[in-house]
This record gives sequence, structure tokens and C-alpha cells, in this order.
Amino acid sequence: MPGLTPLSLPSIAAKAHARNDVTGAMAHAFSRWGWSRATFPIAGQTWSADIDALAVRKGGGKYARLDRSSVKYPPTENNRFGTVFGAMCATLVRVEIVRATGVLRIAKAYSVFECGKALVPEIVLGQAQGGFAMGVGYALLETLPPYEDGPGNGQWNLGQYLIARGSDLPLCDLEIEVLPPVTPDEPPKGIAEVVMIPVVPALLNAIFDATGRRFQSLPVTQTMLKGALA
Amino acid sequence: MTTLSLTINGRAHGPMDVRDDLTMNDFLREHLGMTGTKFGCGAAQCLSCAVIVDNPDGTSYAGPTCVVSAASFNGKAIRTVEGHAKNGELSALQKAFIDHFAFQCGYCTAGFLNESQVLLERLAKKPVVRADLEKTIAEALDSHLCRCTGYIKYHEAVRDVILADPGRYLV
Repeated sequence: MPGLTPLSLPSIAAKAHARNDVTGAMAHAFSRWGWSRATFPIAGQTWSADIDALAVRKGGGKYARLDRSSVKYPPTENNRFGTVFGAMCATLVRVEIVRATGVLRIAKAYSVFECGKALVPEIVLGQAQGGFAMGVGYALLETLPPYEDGPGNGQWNLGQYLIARGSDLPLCDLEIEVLPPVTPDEPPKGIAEVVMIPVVPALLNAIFDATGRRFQSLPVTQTMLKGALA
Repeated sequence: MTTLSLTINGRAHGPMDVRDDLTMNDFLREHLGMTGTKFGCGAAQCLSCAVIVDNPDGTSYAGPTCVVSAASFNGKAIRTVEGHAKNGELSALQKAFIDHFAFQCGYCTAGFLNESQVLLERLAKKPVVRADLEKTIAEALDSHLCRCTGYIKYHEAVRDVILADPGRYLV
């Protein structure tokens, strides 16, 4: 509002803690070509949302689950849409960061997933390796800032939008394990995107383990790492 | 306009008149119909457009065609992806790329193939020790971008070709 100083997050948090108000929330959601929905009692009122479980913490207390009502789930017939998005993937990485420069090297990595029947195992492996590279790009390199200096100005190319090169990867130390199908008749499940996703939290967790610094935005660049280690 | 004569895959082309602002990439793709050479970023960053340039001193390098004029290739000899197979038989590298499923969309493949061929020819003249091989391959291919298979399969394909003939490429 004009004339008023914006409230800072620390001052809002301090006030919420002092008044024993809600200071944290955890939610669970479920999708089956449509989101589950439920109603929750909060601060003497009711609140409905596309989630099926909600827990809140007041002040410095423990999380407590709220009793839900009017729970609605999308119908099980939706499973007949025929697309299964249940492929799961996990990634482990070991990183080395040079304290003086902030240069990060992925010394070793391992991704494991289950994708049902792999129709062309060689391409599944290639996708997993390529997904790893793309995850490295998202975590450490690729940035699309808004406003005038960003790619929206139409002037960006691969010189500014940096994607992973061979030298950003553990070319000889990336192990991919494809687990056998859960059941013999399990249909193929898509893996194109899931193989990139765990790479990002794995890298950020490794960086946290190495530096003690929890980064909250991507990419985590060499300059940011150098600052964290200074 | 400039008069252009050059050798492509061992065959003489020209003399012919080309516009001064015609890029080498457009010359290959649009004038000669040799579309195996791709156009990627147009800024010499991805090297999907790279061809082999053979220097008079017997050395070669893989260089971009997107940011250089066709006229600048006057008198030069180049090789493109169309020139690797001989008498209908794919080269050892091409076979290895296929055996390894090294590419998916194929857009970067011609560039990787040309760069890898330059590496093989360089190693044939100046072999490296086995312990340096992974680093040698990685450094040779590092300026090429791939967004599908993530480099590892290209790396392994090139390594297999070299290890299949260690007397030629390794000391």
C-alpha cells in the first residue's frame, strides 16, 4: 500500500510465533486425472482445497493433522484412461567443490528407476543418461531470468542459456540401473521426464552436505557456491 | 558476388558465383542440397553444423558453417557427413554410433561424427596412452551440444572404435 513499508517475512514470522498462530503447514494431494478435494477447519473457519490431508504447526509446536470433511476423490474409472504415470526414479550423486573457486565436479552418480517393460532398452538408457544431463543443467547452469535482460528480449542463444556439456557430467562414472518390472505383465511406463527430476534435489542435497548451505533457487552457479564457501 | 571453387568430399565444385553474405551452411543445404549438415543455433555454440576442413599441411579440424561465409571457403577442401561412407558402407564410427544408440533425434550427429573422425585421424598420427584416452575423447567432443542422450553413448562409441584398433590409436 502506498506510504506503508512492506512487512518483512521475519517480522511476520516473529508475530505468528508470538501469538501462537500457524507457523507451518504440510499438505498431501492425490491426482487421478483430477485432484482429490477436502474441507479443513482453520482458525474458526472452513477451507476447501485440492488436497486430501493437511497438518499445521502453531508457534514452535508439533505438526497436528486437521480433521477433514467433504472428502471427494476422482472416480476410479479414470484409471482406464490408459496412461500410467507411475515410473519412479531416484538419484545419488557425489560432488566435489573447490573451496577457492566454487567449481563443482560431479565425481560419481547413480540413477535407479522402474519403468515397466522397456520397449527399447538402449533408448531407455540413453534417455536416462540424457535426463541426467538435463537435470545437471537445471540445477547448475540453465537460467531464464524475467524482464528486459532475459531471453524474452529475443537476443539470447546458447552462449547465454548454458546447457550441460560433456565436461559437466561424470562421463565414465554415471551408473544407471533399470529395475525389472514390478509384475511380468506390467505395461511400459514413460520415463522421459522422471529421469531428470531427482537429479536436481540430489545435487542440491549434496551441495548442502558439502557446504552447509541450503540453496532455495536454481541454478546454483559457481559464483553462488564460491560465496557459500567464502 | 564472389567466385567460389572448393572440394567437398573429394569432388570439385565450381567455379560459381555466390553472394558475399551467403553462409556456408546455406550454400551446402540450399544450393547443393546437402542437408546432412544441420543448422542449429546459428551462433557457433552448438556445432551441429560442423564440417571437417582439411588444411593443405595435412591437418584437419571440425568447424562451424553457420557463422562463416561460403566465399571464405574458396580454394578449400572440406568433408561433410555425406562423405564418410565408402561404396555404400558406413565408416567404423558411423557403425559404432548406430550400435551404441548414440543419438536419438540425430540433430547433433553430423557434428559429433566429423569431430570424432578428426580425432581418430589425429590419434592415428599421434597416438595417446590408454590412461589418457577418456580425457582425450572428452576434450575433443566437449564443444558439441547434445540434448537427447547426454554425451555418454557418443563417448563410448568413439572409445570402442579406438580400443578395437589399439595398435593404430594408442601407444
